[in-house]
Amino acid sequence: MNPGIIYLLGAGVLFFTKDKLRQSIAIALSIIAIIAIYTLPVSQGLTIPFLDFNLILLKVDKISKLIGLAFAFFGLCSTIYASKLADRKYYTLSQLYIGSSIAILFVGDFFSFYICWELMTISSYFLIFNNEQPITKQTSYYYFIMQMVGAVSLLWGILLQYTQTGSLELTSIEYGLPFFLLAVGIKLAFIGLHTWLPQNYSNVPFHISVLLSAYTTKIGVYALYRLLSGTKLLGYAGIITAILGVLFALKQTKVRKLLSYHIISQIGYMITAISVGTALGASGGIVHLINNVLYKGLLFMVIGVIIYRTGKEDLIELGGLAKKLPLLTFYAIVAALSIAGVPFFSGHISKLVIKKAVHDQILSWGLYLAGIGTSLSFLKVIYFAFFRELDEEVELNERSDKAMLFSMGLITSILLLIGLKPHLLTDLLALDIKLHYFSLKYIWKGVEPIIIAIIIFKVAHDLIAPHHHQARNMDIYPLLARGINYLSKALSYIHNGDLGRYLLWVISTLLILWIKLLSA
Amino acid sequence: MITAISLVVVPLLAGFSFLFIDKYLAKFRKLFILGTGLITLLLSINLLIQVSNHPLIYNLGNWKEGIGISLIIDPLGGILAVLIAFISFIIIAYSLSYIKNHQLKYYTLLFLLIAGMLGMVLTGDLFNLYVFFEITSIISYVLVAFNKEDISFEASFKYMIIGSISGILILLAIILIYQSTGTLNLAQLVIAARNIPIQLKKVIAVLILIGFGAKFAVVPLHTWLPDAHSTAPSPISALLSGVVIKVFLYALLRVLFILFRIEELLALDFNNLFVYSGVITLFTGHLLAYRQDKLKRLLAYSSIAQIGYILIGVGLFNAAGLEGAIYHVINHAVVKGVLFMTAGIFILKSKKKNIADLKGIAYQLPLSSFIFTISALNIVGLPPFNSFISKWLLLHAALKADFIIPASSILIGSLISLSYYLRIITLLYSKVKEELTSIKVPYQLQLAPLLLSLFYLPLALFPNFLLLLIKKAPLFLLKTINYYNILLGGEEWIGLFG
Repeated sequence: MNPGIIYLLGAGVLFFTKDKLRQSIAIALSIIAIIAIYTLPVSQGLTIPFLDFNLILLKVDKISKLIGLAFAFFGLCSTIYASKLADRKYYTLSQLYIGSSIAILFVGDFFSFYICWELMTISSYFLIFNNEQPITKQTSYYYFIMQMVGAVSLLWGILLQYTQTGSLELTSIEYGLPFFLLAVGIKLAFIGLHTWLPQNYSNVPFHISVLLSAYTTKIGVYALYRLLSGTKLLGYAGIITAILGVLFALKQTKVRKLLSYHIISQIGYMITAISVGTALGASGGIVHLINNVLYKGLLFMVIGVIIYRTGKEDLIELGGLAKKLPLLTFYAIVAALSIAGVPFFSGHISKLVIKKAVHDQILSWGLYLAGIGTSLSFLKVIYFAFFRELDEEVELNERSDKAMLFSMGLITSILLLIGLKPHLLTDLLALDIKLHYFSLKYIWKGVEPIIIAIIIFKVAHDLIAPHHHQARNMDIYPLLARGINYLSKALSYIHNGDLGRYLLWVISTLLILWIKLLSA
Repeated sequence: MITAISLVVVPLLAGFSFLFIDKYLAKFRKLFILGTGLITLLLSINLLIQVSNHPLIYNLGNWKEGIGISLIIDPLGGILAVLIAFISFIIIAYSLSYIKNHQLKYYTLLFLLIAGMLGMVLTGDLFNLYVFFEITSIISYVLVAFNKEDISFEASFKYMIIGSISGILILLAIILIYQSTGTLNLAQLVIAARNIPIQLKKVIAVLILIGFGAKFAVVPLHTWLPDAHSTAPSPISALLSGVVIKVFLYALLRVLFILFRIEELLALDFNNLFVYSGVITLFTGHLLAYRQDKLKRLLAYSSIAQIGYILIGVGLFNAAGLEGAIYHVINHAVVKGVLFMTAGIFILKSKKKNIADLKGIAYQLPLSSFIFTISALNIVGLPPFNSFISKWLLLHAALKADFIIPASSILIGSLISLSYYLRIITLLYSKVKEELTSIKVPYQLQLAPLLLSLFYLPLALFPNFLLLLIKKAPLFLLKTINYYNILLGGEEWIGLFG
């Protein structure tokens, strides 16, 4: 059976249970799911008839299994992480959300794919919509509408593909490319279509942004891999996304906003890798995806604990946390080194595979630049949050964060493991070529951007130091809403409630139809 | 056989005998009302089981066909009869705790309305079709004005004026048909209509298109609907929006397909007429709903939009489109029923009709708000709910028939509808400082919408069960020779059973 079902059914159970019982059931479910995914035999399938086609509810291959494992593992960690803050709504919806994102990895036809896609949107909408943060009313609305545009476009693409080929099997698409591009582009927060992401991930309660950061965009990448891999032009788009994402990120002072833009930037890496179209490129993209789930999730967890203990998340106000929260600092450094791609940390592995796969000169240089930007922005976060000395110290409250630190420890150990023993991960993908990840050449390649970043950091310290700046609103999508509003207003205006006018409409319709038909 | 006519007789008799029950046996009033609803439902299910294999004809008083009154029931009639009886039963259950004043008048009218609708889908001749058409219409006018507020009088008046015009047009069409063929029996008309001169046929077509079109609110004949459906008592709104307009659509299709063969309809470009009027209807409905302040008015406009979806499916004039349309009729009846009933609960609780006044009501009415929320997502057409299935069927059928713009407008319509339903959902779940009101909503009131909303998932997950029945409907609606063959009592349906 599709392992996503475990979560979807579990959501119902969690809805009706309470307190400790609910907590332990949620954790137990996650563990069961991990085991279920791990033991799924590759190439097993399950097909049931529906309407006039077949639904392929289960279709396992290496890649879906690997991503599924990462998702399920992160699901477990985020459940433990949130155990102090979670309420019934969180438990139910998060299980639906995780469940549908895992289910989507294992379905083999477009129809079920679309259903899981929408389930994710619905459940994440209600996760974002939160009364503690009134601003989420608007941002979640924006989120849902934008995701719906993507979903509608996906559905249209699916229907085009279905009517043209007569098959709903989930393969690389042949028809309706622009619609699939739009759908996937919105889901994975392509630059220009990314506007829903930062405003949502930085405004929801932090345990929810931890959860959100791992799944939605990654499913977009997965869809890109399944449906559109080998679309060469996307490579350049990916680079633009990676570089612009990093530039936007550098500007931010709110850590979660910074991390949100980093999601976008890292997605750019994956787009570039997958669009190469070779098995190596796809593997690089997928490994990077898994790494990203882990270290980006870990970073969101770090800032979550900071918010939890200090109530602050702006780099302007933070500083000197290294002494007060040493364990957290350790986790943060591991995550930052991983994302920067320092040798012996996990990001190094995936970035190296991607570099090996990409042969285009422009793309390689773009990746290099994005790498420098990434290192630079995490230098900024680590330095200003943890090591900078502030005149007046940041105060900590005495709330217990043991569960949080424990779940972060789990992720950190996996990250370190991947970094030191990359073959554990890459063997699962059965990569063809053997890379010597720790040869001197590669180590130097991995360290190079960081050294450049440190130099820039020293030289341009004043520029990078967090400071307030004017936020400019460049979002053009609300204009579309204004267009609809205008049309609606015009229509309301002519419906003025005057019976005489309405009768005139009836009579003139009658006459027009009459003349048209009789003259035909 | 006998179930066919008793399906009309039971609610009709119940309506009138309620006068006595109310006066002399007041204790059994509730039991009587619910019992009648239940019996009607069971009878209709029984009828559907019969006709799904053997469409039947029933001559009242054993008069010969063409002289006496006859009922002809094919699978589509059976399906709609069950739909009417089922939604009515839920509405009756809801009304028991919703309608507190003038119960006598209310239930008498309600039963007559049910009888009228059932008559329309079961009848086998044009004259009775007109009779039941007028019964349904007149009762609707009265029920719209039931609240005795100024706006409901105005709405009812507008509805009546436009409704009367449509009634006259229908009557005129029927007279013309009778004059040129000499029969009013629908089955006999299949053959007889071939002799009507084409010019006259066109006139008749215009008359019934406008006549019935005004009743199921195709734009620009829709103007009465938002007023009427929003000012009626909530259970009546649910019934009007959910089933009454669909019954009129059924009547149009039945008559149109009997008068014209498919080839003639296509030659006259009727498929484009239907499909593109559907597109206009759905955009007008959605765009007008987008800016509504009043909840029930918004729902009413949304109903207009849904009629647009159904018209697109119908206008393809092929089996796939009709199946999608019929499935959408069923889904919309169920979902809009729930939406209006929950809206009624909100209005009862807050005593206000504006959406803005419903802020935070979810914290006082968690169950109703939850039902409203999933219903709203459902009607937008999001999976995993049932409306998605019918929209998928409609989309697929439209694309296959190369209607690209109509198909894409179905999706764009969904997007607009999400934008206004989401606004309501957001408001329902926003926190407010103080409690809205201390008005208690009776617990039983939530049972009816809850029961109806339990059908969402089965309808979505097991569509094949229902589609098996629905697939038989186009065989009699499109291939009218099959409909004629019912008259002969023959078993040889073309393309059916294998």
